[in-house]
Amino acid sequence: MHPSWKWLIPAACLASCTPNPPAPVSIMVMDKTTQGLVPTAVDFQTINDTYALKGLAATFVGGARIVVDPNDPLYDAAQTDDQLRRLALKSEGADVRLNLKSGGETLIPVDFHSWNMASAYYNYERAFLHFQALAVIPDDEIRETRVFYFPTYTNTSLSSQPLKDNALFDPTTQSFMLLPYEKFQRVPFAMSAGVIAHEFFHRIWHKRIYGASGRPLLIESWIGQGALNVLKSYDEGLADFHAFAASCSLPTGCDYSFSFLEETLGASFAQARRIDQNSRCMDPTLYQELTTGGLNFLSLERHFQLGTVIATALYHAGSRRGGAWGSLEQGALRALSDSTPNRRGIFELANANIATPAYFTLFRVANSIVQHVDLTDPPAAQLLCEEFATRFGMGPTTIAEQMPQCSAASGNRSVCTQQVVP
Amino acid sequence: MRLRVFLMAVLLLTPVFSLAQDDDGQTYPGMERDRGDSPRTSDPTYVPREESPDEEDAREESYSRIDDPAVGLAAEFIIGAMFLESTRGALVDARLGIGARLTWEIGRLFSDDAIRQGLFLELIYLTTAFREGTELIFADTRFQYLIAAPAWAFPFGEGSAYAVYLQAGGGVAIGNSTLFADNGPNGIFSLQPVILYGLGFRGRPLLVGDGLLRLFFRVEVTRFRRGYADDTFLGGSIGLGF
Repeated sequence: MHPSWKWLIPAACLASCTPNPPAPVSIMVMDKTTQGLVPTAVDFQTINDTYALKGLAATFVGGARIVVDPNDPLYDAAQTDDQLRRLALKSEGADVRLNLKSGGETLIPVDFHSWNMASAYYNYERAFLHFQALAVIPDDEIRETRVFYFPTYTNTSLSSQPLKDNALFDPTTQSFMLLPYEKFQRVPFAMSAGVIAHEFFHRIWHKRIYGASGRPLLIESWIGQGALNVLKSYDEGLADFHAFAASCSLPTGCDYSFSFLEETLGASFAQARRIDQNSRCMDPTLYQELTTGGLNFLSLERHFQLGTVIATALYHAGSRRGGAWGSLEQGALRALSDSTPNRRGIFELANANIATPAYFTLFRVANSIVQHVDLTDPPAAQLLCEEFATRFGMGPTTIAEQMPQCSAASGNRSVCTQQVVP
Repeated sequence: MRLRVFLMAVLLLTPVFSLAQDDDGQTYPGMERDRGDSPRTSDPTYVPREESPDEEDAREESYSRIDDPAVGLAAEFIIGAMFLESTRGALVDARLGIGARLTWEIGRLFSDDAIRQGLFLELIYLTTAFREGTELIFADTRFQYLIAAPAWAFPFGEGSAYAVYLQAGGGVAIGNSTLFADNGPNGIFSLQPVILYGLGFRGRPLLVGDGLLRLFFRVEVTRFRRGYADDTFLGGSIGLGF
């Protein structure tokens, strides 16, 4: 470049480039406090570009259009996950650009979407740091997740119209979607630490269990099988449990009542999903739907119901030890994949039974989780044995056969009175 | 009787030219023409004399003021679509923009016709407001642009009331946002520098024949560099000037 042209670079940057203060960056976000959801000054610890919201925890993209259409002939023709991702991403979108004003040393969002996105990044950062602190999942599996903010997202297996009123992890693009709101007019999902932590776990699960594939072999192989229902139930149950455990780091403390669901979706949603209720038990009807109901189990959203039973077992195992959930979280994360022969993880157990899905049961997965909790916290593992056996309605025969890590007498009929399996 | 009719016809005649003299410059016997200083066209050696300083000043004197006696002030109401740069990565967010402008045709201070017809200065106020969020958590945001901007008009012909113009200027954008959260309203005030640049079509036709009252209107495309954001205004304005 001619030396006389070099002045154009800083001049152009001055005209168009936003400042980029180094982390930690003090910024106002909407955070849950004892006063409710209010503007609060926090520090972005993992941010690289504050105005474009790119950092170690997440990288934001706006204005994208994504269409996941399994009926598209090109969908079948795609050979690799990368081709699937590019097929789905119809419009890649653009960088977001927060409108921030300087309030002394703290940046303050000016308009609603700047508040919403800044709050979302803070929640993604909290989730990232929470899982990083558990020291089980490597950083490269949880860093720099792409977050599509208010995209036009269509998944034809769910609806022909763009989805709204939700926050989800999309396996095809391996990205989070913070969808526009339409009917749900409560707390925006982006401002909910619990919702973001729940979705963050789905990314971990998808990487560990499905290999980050946009067309997982397990799902394709097990469509209509009870084994798939087991997988989906644990996916949701563990996500709720980790969201609860992560909430204990919030200024307001552990979210026992699952208020993050009440704030976003309403009281009935929270009541159906809260995991501190001792009455959460699997009944014979639910078990029959799980094993023989096929896709109806998922279409009726029974995987959320069974997931709540799973999360309740983990919650009470920790609650009975005075609120110690860390080792249970670590055990559950270790159980996601482990190739140790006598202590197979969920991934190994599933892939060993692609052709024999009947062997992949609710109870054998529970056994894997108990085994991995036992590695660091045997007393917690013993309590988890009791909780799983009780809430699944397991009799001594099934415990001995499918949950050998646990004593055959683990079941406690005083909490869940119905025996579901022998 | 016939004579009476003839005399009446003669008296009623209104000839367009005098019947007494043919206007072909011919001199008839008995009619001597005073040529004054008029050159004798048949003299090939004639050299026009030099203008005197008074005659030169009189020739250069501008009569524009007589042709267009307007003061050069106007006020217009602005309305149009304000396309704010989207913070969320969608290209733009379209909002209603309204405002007003005061125009001073400052070029009238100059004698040069090009400057007189081209240069004008404006003070512009433009505002846009919107609400975003859910019913529980939302923000009301208003941006107000205060700008001073000179412009140069390119009229369609000498003295034309219609012109294309280019404009550039600067000012401030005042941002007022109120975020409604669980603790009630939270006000946020921001002040950002603004650079304006744009072009448009401008008209200022006469409303009253003496040239004092004119209708001012325009159609414009104007961009605002607001801090690190680029906003675009498509709209127009209408008003009166004198």
